[in-house]
Amino acid sequence: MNNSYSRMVVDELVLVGRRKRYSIPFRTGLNIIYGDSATGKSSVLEAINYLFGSSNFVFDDEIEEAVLYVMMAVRLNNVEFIIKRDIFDKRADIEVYASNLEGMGKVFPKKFSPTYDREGPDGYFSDFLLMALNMPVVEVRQAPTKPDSVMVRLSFRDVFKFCYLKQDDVGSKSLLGDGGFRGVKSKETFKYLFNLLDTALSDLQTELSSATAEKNRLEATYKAVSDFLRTVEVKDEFSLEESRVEIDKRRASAKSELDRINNQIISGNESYAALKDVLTTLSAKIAEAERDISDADQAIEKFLRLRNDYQADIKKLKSIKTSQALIGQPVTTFSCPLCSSTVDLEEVKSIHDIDAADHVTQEINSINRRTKDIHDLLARERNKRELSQAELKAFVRDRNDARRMLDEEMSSAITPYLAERDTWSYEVAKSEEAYLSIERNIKIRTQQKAIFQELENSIDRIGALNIKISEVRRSAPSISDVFQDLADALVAFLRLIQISDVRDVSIDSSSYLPVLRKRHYRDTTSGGLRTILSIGHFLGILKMSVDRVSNHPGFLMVDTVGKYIGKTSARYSDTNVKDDQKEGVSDPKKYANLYNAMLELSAYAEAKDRGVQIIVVDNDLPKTIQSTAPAAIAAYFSSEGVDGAARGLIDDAHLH
Amino acid sequence: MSKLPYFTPDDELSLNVGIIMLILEKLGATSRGRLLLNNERLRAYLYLIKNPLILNRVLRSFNYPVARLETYDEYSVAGISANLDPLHDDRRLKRFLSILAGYGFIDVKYKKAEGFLYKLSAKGKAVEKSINDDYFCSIRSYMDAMASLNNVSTSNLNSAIETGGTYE
Repeated sequence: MNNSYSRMVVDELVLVGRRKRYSIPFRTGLNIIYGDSATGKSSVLEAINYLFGSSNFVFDDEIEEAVLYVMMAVRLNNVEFIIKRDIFDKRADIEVYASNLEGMGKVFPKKFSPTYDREGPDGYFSDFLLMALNMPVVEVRQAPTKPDSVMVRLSFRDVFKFCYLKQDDVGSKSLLGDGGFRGVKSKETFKYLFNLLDTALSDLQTELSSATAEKNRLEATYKAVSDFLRTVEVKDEFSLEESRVEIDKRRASAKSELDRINNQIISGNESYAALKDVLTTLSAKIAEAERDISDADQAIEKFLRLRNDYQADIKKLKSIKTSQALIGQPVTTFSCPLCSSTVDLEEVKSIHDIDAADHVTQEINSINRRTKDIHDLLARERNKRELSQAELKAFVRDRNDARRMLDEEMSSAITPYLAERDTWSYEVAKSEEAYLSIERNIKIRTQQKAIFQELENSIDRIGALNIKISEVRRSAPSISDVFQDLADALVAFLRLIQISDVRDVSIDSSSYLPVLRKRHYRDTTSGGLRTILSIGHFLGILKMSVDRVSNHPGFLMVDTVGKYIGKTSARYSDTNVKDDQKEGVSDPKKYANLYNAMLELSAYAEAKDRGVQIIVVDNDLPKTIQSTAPAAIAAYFSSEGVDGAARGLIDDAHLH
Repeated sequence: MSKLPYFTPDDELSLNVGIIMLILEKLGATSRGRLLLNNERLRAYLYLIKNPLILNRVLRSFNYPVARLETYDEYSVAGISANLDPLHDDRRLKRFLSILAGYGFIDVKYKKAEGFLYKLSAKGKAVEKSINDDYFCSIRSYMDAMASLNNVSTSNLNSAIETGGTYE
C-alpha cells in the first residue's frame, strides 16, 4: 500500500466488561451491523467514534452496567495499534499500544490527552492520529477571508466529521454545519482534505521538516536506548526469548522436582507411619509378653507356696498319726478337773476331726498326688514363661530394629529430602524471579523495538510526505477540479441508485454540498432523497480519497442508511411524504442499490490497492444484500435472540 | 452344722492337743515355777506357733531373736494370707482344753487377777516327752525363740500380733 494515501482500518472493537469481553471484528470494505432498535447498534459506532477521540460517548444502562472500558484494534497506515479508553472518565488519557490485542501486555502504552486543553504525557491524541496517518498538523484561519484572522488548530476530529454520518446527520438539512463557525471550519477542513488550502504545500513541507526532526529525534533516542541497553548488558530479543524459554523450562522442571520431592516426602512419611505402626504393634506385643511372664511368675510362686503348704500339711498329718497313737482315742465324758462336774465331749468330737489313722494316710497320699500335680503345673508355667521370654526377646530385638529403622528413616530418608526440597524451592523462587526479570527485559526490548518501529514509521512518513508534496505540486489541485470530480461521482452514484431525472448535478461552491436538478441539498424536501444525497456525497468524498492524494483516511461510518427510506424511528419527521413518494425512495430496489453502491466503492478501492472501510448501521438489510454479500455482515442483533442471533451488543444483558 | 468333706490338718484335734501340751510344757511357767498361761495367752501362743511368719514379725517388733523357720513355713500360701480368726476363737481353745482335761493331761488353777491358769499334769508330761515327731520338733525349736515373749504383757503381745499380722 502506498503510504502517501492515508488509510485507517478498524480491525476489532472490544468492550471489556465485568462479566466478559464483548467484541465485534471488522474487515476492510463494507461492514454491516443491523438489527432491531435498542440493541446497541449505534453504540458500536459511538464507541468507535469515542475511541477516535470524540469528547462524548453516550451509552445506555446496559453498557454502563456491564462495561469497564473500551478498546479497539486499528491499523493506521498499516501499523497496528490498540486504542484503549476509559468510558467513565472522558478526560482521562487515551492509551495507545503499538501492538495487536495479543501482544498488548508486552508493550508500554503511550498516553495522549483527548483534548487540546491539556497535554498528555505523550502529547495530544489528535496529533498522534494525524501523524500516524501522515496528515500534516495545521492551523487554519477562523475567518479565511481575513488574512489576519485568528488561527485555529485543525484537529483529527474535524477530519473525522467527513468520516462519520451520524443518525442525526443522515439526510439532515444542517449536514456539515450551516453558515456559522461550524460550517466555516468544515469548509476549511474540506480544503485540507484535498490539499486545497493556500498553505497546502507549505503545510506539507512544514510537516516534512517536523517529520524529519522527529526522525532525527527518534534516531537519537533509539541510539541512546540501544547504547544504554548494551551498557547494562540487556540481551537481545532472540537470546532473551531463548532465555525465557530456558528459564521457563527450568522453572517447570524445578516445580516438578519440588512436586516429586513433596510426593516422596509424603511416601517417606508413609513408610515412617508404617514403621511407627510396626513399633506400636511390637510395643503392645512386648507388653503382652511381659504380662505373660509376670503372670507365669506369679503362678509359679503360688504353686511353689502351695507345694510348701502341702509339705507342711503332710508333716502335720504324719504328726497327727503319731500323736493319735500316743494320745489314744479320747474319752467321751470326764469330770472337770476344777469342779468335778461331768463334761460331755461328743460335741467336741463332732466339730473336730478325730479321724481314723487310715483316713489320715489317705489324706497324705492325696496330698502327695496333689504335690505331684503341682510339679506338673510348675513345669507347664515354667515352659510358658520360657516361651514368653523367648518371644519377648524377639520382640525387643524387632522393636530395636524398628526404632533404628525409624531413626534411619528420619535421618536418611526425610532429612535429605528437606535439604533437597529447600534447594528446589529456592530454585523455583530463583527461576521465578529470573523469569520476571527476563519478561521485564523483553518488555524493554519490545519498547526499544517500538522506538525502532516508530523510527521506521517516521522514515516511511518522510517518504510518503515527499510523494505527497510532489503529487500536490504536480497535480496542483484546484477546488473546481475537486467539485467536478465529486459531482461526477455523485451522478454515477445517483444513476446506480436509479434516481429518476438525474440532471444538473453539481457541488455548491459556497456550502460545498450537493445540488440536484439545480436544487440545493438543503432545499430538497424529500427526506429520502436527502438521505441518498448525503450518503452519496460522503461516498463521493471517500472515493476521492482513493483517486487523489488526500488527507482523508478512507474510512466512513453511516448510522441508519435507510433513514426516511425504509423503516425509521418516528422521531425523524423532517420529510415531505408526498415528495418521498414522488421520488420513489421507499422502493426496495433503491434501498438495495444504496448498499450496492457501497459494495461497489469498496471493490473499486480494493482494486486500486487503497482499500477503504465502511461501517454502516441499519434497522433492516435488503434481502438481496443478505444473500449477495453475507460476509459484509459484521453483526446482527435481534432483541428476541431469534435464530441464535446475539440479543445486542451486550449479549448477556438479558441474563442479568 | 454338718461337716464339710475337707480335711484341714490345722483343725485336727490330736494335732492341736499335742501342740498345746508342748506349749504348756515349754512356756507354761517361769523358771521359778510361776504359771503364765491363762486362756488369752495360751490362745495367742497357739496362734503364733501355727503362724511362724507372724511369730517372727512379733519377735522382731520387740527386738528379740527370731526363730529359724522351715522353708515350708516361710514360703507358703498360708504365710501370705494369715487368718486372724482363730486368734479370737475362745470356744475352739475351750474345746481343746476340754479334751486335754478329759485325758487328764492338764492341771488347772484359778487366780482372780488372771483367770484360769494351766499346766501339764504328770500324765501329760509323760505323754509330752514321747511326742518327738518331725513337725513337733520344729515347733519346739520355734518355742525356744518364743520364750522371749514370756516377758511381754498379754495386751502388748496381742496388739503386736494384730499389727504384725497385717503389716508387710
